Amino acid sequence: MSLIEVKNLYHDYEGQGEYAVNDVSFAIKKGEIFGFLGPSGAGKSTVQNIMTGLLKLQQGQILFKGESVTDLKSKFFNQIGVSFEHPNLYSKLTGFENLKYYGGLFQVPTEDPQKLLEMVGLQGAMHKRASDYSKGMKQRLVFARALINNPEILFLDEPTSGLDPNLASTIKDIIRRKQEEGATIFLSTHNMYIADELCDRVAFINEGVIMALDTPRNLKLQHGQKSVQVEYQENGHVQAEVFSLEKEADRIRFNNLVNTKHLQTVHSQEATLEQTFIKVTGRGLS
Amino acid sequence: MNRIATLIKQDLLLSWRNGLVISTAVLLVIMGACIYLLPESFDVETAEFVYDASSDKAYETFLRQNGLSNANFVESEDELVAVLNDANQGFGVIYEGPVDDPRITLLTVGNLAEENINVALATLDYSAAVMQGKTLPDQYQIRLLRPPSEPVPVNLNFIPIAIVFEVVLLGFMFGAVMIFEEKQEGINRALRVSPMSTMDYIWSKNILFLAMGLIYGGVLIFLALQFRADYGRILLLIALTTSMMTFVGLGIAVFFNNISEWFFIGVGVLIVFNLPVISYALPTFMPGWITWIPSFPILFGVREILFPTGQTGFYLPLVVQLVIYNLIAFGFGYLAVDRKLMKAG
Ligand SMILES: Nc1ncnc2c1ncn2[C@@H]1O[C@H](COP(=O)(O)OP(=O)(O)O)[C@@H](O)[C@H]1O
Ligand SMILES: [Mg+2]
Repeated sequence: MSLIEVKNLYHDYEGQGEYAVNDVSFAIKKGEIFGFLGPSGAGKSTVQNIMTGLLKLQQGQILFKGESVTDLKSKFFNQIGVSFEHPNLYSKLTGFENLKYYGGLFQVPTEDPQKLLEMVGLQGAMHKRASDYSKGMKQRLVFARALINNPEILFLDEPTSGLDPNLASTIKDIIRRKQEEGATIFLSTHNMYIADELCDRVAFINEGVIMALDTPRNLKLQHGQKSVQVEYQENGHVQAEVFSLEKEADRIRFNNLVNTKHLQTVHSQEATLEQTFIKVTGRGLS
Repeated sequence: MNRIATLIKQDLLLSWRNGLVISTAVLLVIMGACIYLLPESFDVETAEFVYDASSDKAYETFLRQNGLSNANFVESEDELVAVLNDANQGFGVIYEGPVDDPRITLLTVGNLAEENINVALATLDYSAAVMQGKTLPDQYQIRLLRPPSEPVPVNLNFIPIAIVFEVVLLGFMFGAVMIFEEKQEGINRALRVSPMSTMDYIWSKNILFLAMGLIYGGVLIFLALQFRADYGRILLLIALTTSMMTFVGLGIAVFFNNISEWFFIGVGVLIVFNLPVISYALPTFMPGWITWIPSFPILFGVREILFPTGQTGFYLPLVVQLVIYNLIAFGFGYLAVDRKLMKAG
């Protein structure tokens, strides 16, 4: 049973027939982490903004537990948490105050702001004004704010962009923990590692169109090139070569090598998600 | 309710850190200081001197009977001129000749208004006639339609302006300031994905500014009149005015992104709302259109409540009028905020 269904979504910002989102359909199962992977400008934020009601639903359908989100209003907003690509905070309020007052808007039980701030590593800056926060700190505060109402669904737009690897991994851990607690997560990113490590299923999106949708593993297996990297000794030198297992000529040469040379190392090389993305869409992620 | 309470607390904290609370307090202190620093009246003492040059001093006798004392009489024309020159402002009378054919001369110094001189001449005519034993027909009479009102002390006369001006400014401008800050921070996107409604948003700001307006007005009136004011009626007017201006202010502000874009329209509206101050200061300037500005009846209503001249029956129609304005302003404010702030892509 899908928790959220998006059907034939289109979006045209200027009303001139240029679609930022073009016939996008997908369904998110309860409890999964569903990822949108695509380069900047692909339409990820546009889709998230339509789903959360920030952008008007022009054409298509969005169903939350079978009901159209346009009819849900405050009931829906009590159950979702949204983290924004560009941090938006009350700069004259402290981190703690930003969470406390935002929490006061919900009719469902809310989390302790202090606990959330500790979780994202902001305990030291809790009582500093948000205007004094660095970009990364703001990013984490916005992320923490998305968790304040213990949401059933989390919409996370580039949750780790601009964070150093340590902090990014803290955020990833929190996202996994939220999933274990039963939350469903919609995540947009242009970072293949995030998509690969976190997402149960990933949609490749480019120019407003979903080009592929599957588990990261299947995507890599179906579309990525399987290859083998081999190191062997020849004339006293170490030689290295990569063979694609999908090319006839490479396979024959690889077999020859196995039969005739002394191989030192053999590594099977799975394609990365980005390589897969390039194969599917014809362009890279950056 | 909980949501509105949260938003009010947050807006209060923000207006504190924005300086909006402080600037209101500073204005209150300045206005309060004016009450104590301005004189109660600018009246200059008008001196009156009489030189009765007649042989029997009949005029002097008559005036003494009517309450004038030694200090008012001089013994020669030169002395009269001398004492008048010493006074800032005043008039002197020279009385000559017999009772049945007197010659009376009026001397004046200073900025005596023409009305006062005419009154003086009429008084002289009248007193001469009475001395001749004539009884005057009751041609001139004064009937008081209302008991005479106390003149408003100079240092309190500006209080209605200080109240209406600040309350208009507070409602209209503070909401705009907060909206521009929120727009700059992009915070309304966060609010829009929360259960907060447009109603919550508008009412939290309205209630906060209303409270600020009431405290400002209440304190100022207390400084001016202590317990001599009808607080119930005046505070209701202040509340209705602040609320109306907040709705209008929010409704207009959402069409702009920052103070500079808003400036001409915003300041234009503020100027229009303060035009009735001219009529207040110069009662002769009262073109018909100015009475249509909503702050006009408010300003004069506030004055009538604080310094009654005995007008009755103006209050209820004024309240009804303001309630209607509030409904219209709310409709406009709600639609504008909902469409432009809470729904815009
Ligand atoms: N407010 C807007 N007005 C007009 N075009 C926009 C607006 N926001 C985004 N776009 C365009 O829509 C497309 C998708 O943008 P976006 O959804 O932000 O992509 P992503 O989040 O994947 O980077 C881009 O071509 C972008 O230029
Ligand atoms: Mg984006």
